Amino acid sequence: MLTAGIDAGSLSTKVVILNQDKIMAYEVLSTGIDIGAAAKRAMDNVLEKAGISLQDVESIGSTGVGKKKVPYKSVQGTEVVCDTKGALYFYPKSNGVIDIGGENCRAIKFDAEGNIVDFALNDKCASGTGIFLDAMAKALRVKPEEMGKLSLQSTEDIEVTSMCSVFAESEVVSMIHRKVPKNNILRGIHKSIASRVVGLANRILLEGNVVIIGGIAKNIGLVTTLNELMNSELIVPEKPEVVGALGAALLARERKE
Amino acid sequence: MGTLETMKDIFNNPNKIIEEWKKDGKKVVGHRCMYVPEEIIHAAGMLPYPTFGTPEPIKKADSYFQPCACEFVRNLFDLALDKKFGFLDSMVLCNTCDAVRHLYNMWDTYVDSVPCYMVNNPQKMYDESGFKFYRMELEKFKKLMEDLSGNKITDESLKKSIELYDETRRLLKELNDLRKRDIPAISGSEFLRTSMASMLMPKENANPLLRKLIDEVKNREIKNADGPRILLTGSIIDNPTLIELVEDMGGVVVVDDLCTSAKYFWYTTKPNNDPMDAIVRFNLERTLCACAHPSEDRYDYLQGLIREFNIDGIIYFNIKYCHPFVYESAIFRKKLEEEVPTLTLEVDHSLSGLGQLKTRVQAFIEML
Amino acid sequence: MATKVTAPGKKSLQTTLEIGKAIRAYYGGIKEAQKAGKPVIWSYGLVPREIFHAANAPVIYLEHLPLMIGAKQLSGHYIQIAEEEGFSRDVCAFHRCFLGCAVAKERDPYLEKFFAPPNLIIASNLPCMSESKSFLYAADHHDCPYYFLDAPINTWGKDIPEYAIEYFAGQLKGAIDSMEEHGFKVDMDKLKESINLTKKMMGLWNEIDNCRKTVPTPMSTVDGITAAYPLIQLPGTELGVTLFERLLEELKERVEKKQGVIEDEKLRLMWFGVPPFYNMGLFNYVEKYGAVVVKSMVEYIAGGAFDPSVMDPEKPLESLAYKALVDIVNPTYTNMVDFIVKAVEDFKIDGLIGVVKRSCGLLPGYMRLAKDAVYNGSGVPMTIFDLDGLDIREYDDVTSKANLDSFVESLLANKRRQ
Repeated sequence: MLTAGIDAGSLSTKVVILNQDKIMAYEVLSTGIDIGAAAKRAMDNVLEKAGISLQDVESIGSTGVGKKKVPYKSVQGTEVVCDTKGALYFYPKSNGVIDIGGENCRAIKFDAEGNIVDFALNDKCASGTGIFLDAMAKALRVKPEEMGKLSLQSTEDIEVTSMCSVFAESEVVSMIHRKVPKNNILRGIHKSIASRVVGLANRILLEGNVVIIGGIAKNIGLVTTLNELMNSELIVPEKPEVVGALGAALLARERKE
Repeated sequence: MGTLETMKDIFNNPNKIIEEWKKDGKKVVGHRCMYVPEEIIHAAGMLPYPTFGTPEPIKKADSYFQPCACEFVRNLFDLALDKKFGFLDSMVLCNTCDAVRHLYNMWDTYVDSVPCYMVNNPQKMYDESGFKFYRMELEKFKKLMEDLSGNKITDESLKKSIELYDETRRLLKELNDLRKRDIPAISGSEFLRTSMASMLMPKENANPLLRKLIDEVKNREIKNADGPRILLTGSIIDNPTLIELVEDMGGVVVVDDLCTSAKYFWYTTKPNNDPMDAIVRFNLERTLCACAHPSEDRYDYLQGLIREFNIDGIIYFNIKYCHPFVYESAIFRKKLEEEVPTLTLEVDHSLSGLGQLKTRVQAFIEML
Repeated sequence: MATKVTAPGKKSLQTTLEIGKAIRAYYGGIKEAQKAGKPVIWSYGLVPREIFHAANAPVIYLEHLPLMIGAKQLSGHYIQIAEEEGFSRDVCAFHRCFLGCAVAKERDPYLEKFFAPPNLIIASNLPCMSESKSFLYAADHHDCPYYFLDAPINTWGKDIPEYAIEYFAGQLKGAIDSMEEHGFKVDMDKLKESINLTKKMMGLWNEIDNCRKTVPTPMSTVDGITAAYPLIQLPGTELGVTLFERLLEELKERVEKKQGVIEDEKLRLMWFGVPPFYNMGLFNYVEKYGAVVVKSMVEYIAGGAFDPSVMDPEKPLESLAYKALVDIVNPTYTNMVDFIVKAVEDFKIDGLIGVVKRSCGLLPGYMRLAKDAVYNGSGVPMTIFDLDGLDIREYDDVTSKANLDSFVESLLANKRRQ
């Protein structure tokens, strides 16, 4: 059976095609302003990669903040449910997920049978999410994908004390003016985000085999800091950004069965 | 080393006190808030240990308390979860505020290594029926302490303990009086360290040290005494950083109505043949904490301090989510403003956000 | 912005509409009574109101006024006024709102209908010790006499010792003395009679509760929260008894017909914490999943979890003292947490929703304890998220619904696996 999963995120859109248990193809592109159009583009691309047509797909699952705007008939699922399914697909022995998205961040805990035991979502505040990190990259004029690596080269621990992203930005600008080395500021920013994420994970007492997903999981600086703060070894999947979409595809398959 | 330094050293390393005390196998009973009578613990041959927090950020406790619980209490619970209070043979709390009540529930449920007990006290002062209620609770507590220590508490031993603790209070007050002068003999932060060290130490050791200290500093004059004279009040402040901040901004902190300072030693026990009754009345014949009723009592007491210490300005340090002091400061604000300028500050127990605080304190002191 | 996404709750029972009317009629009558020369009392929601009924005294409860104007989405304005008076956002939104109403120079016409300045204030630290001083400010402002009724915290569970009962009964006597001193006449015979009425009313409430344990439930918390109003305002009155008799009748009929609140009941939920009074429609939101919020913890405040048989009309003050001290919100682990564990089992609850009102000093402290006790006891999960039930300025519709969606979906996903 062929199923597709769409994760319509605020920053990026992900689509996965699943053939029974196997990932046939996936696509990640940035969402832009039109969620529906992005989903369609991603779907078209992924179908082409897989060499199939939309009619071949028996069922579609969707998740993410834009799931209601996806232009396909689909089984909708919350990120909590889809992330869990996706994480367990890759790591059947895992017992939790940390998912850092563009505007959202969540921590999920499940038991050995795969039942969701607990979860925590961030509030509307953007600190501790991808958008915050992007804003900081702009303020510091570094490439987002290089931030993590640079932060690990810091020479001194400094603190970004403002929890609010707006205040944090002005705090960072004033550090730049005071000629604080960029790497140190980056380290401070990563610590600040990590402490928010750890706060969420702590609320549900998350520990053990925890998978970190979402595009940010590729940021080595953040993962390192999270491991330090949580005293853990987070599991980073090869394609952390498509785990949610994969979960949506699994959800679609389950419902079809 | 001068005695002021000795006090600072004790304040910085309270663990030494515990080690010393425990050498002979004697027990230590932790407590929080003023309605747990230390004299009863002491009369049973144990060391009453006032639990203080640390400025460390909170880790595990946030999984248990919601972030809107008093930060001091969350901090204490964090330390308890982290087994930092493992040296205690028991922990005793009392009925002061919802946060402490929750601490009791949490401690009792999640901290297995140290048993926790709660002394129930009335929140209404001067009420004979409340005295009766509290007395019943204290009798139970006394029995508990006897069982824990294996020592009988007699009227004689209790009277002796009261005398000893009263002597500490008298000495601290005598030292505090040296701050009334135009140029105080001891600074606010020095005093807080001394007073907290005295609270932590066995009083048998604290009293001679305090006598020596009074002797050493009685002719001393602190530097930088030109600024406005400040009265500090508010939630529990267990770290001199905030006082130092006021001092750095040019304020002269001359008296602190804090659990770690004046509230501890301002009054002594009235002579009474029945020592249990003496303790009951010592605690219930005055309103020292914002949690208790009537409030007018505290207002009169603050007014007394303003006059006695020639105060130019009052600063309320309210720890975030400390409900009793948020109400008190809002209720007293207008009345106090008529006497002296009053600044109400919300502070983090973990001492973050000091930059903003500094700006506000500075503006206040410049205004004075 | 938030006003557009909120909706009133959809009630389904006839009697709760009547109870709603009774609330407005009661409060509407207070102003008239004062005009006619009757003194008015202000008090907190757990001070035993039988003593007020025994004096025919009109009472405004601090918790009620904010609720009434909160449902009309007017609370934010008055909360703001209290904040301008120096009451920080850290302290209870209900108290801030009431203080705002108390000191406002101008009042909304809707509030004006129910507002009457106090001739006597009877404050207490039950249920909220942290907020017990808020009325001092109001007493100062209105230059009005003030009595403080001290309730010891319940560290004993159901076995309250004699000396604690005696202390609280003495406090009640003090309140009565204070009332008599300020123009009220407390009729002790009427007080004894009121104990009988309270017993009857509480008994009916327990029967109502039993009906609600039925699957499908004939009554959800949307009706339940309104139905719980007589628990606070009307113990010791004929009206309270009549209203509950009628409600019980209506429920029994539904149970017989197996008529549920929703058609296909798949999930039974329970709400722990302050309900979103400005957006009661949030309870109906989960119905699209076949979920129904059967019960809410606040319906148990003021004696809702109480066995009335221990009350003795010959000892009215002692009986009232016992009832007040064992109330679930007079905090002790046994009272609150054990009770929730039992309620989850009795009502066959699938999931517990805990909401944290950040300005509350009382309930958030129970969230973790309840969550662990319920999960360890019966494997029922609890989710916890921030939601201020009164201060609409704090409301975040997207996040609240995301939490509800995630929770209900995960419960359904877990069910499917079994």
